[in-house]
Amino acid sequence: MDNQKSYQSAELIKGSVTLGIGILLFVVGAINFFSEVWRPYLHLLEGIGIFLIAVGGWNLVQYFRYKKNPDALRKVRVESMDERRLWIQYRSGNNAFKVGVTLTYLFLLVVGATETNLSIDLVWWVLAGIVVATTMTYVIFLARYERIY
Amino acid sequence: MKNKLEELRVKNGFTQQDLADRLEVSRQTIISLEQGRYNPSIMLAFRAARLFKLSIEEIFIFEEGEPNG
Repeated sequence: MDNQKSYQSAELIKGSVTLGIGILLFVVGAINFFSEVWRPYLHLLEGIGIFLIAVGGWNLVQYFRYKKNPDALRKVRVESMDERRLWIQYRSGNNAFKVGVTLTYLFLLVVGATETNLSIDLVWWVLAGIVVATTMTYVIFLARYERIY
Repeated sequence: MKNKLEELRVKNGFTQQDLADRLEVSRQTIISLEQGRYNPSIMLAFRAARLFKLSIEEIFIFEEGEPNG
């Protein structure tokens, strides 16, 4: 029961802090009291603020849902802390990390060797590709380990 | 790793979900354990041993040369 209460409290703290930071970023971005030069970055702040407000709001909704329905809380807590699931996630994450680091390192070698002759567009696409490849590795290994274990 | 989890579960009249609830793991973990596809952590092994009032060795059977993981 104590574990359940601490899981529930964590949801409240996560939700409140995330919502607070989100509102702060949104307000700072929306007030626009910096110079014109900063305007694009302020929109970025607003965007991040809205995202954090949504995430924090969701955490708080979950907190009140768990408060009303302790059985739902127990299920979610057990699922999220299930040791087999965590083990599979850690192992898949480890593989994805290796792929991500290797590809990034290889790309850094290429960038170094070409002495900044690469276009920004190409660099953007390669970096985006590395993010996709890392995520795909994670998902593929999740599915594979779910079948094996 | 072989184990007697399924045998003990049936003997005690538990469903897989009952056992999962008592050991605080998912039902899928119980299925994997019973099929010998997943080896439990030491904490889970202790919880199972306490639940069935047996020693860990009476439930989980370690054989030399078993691969990890």
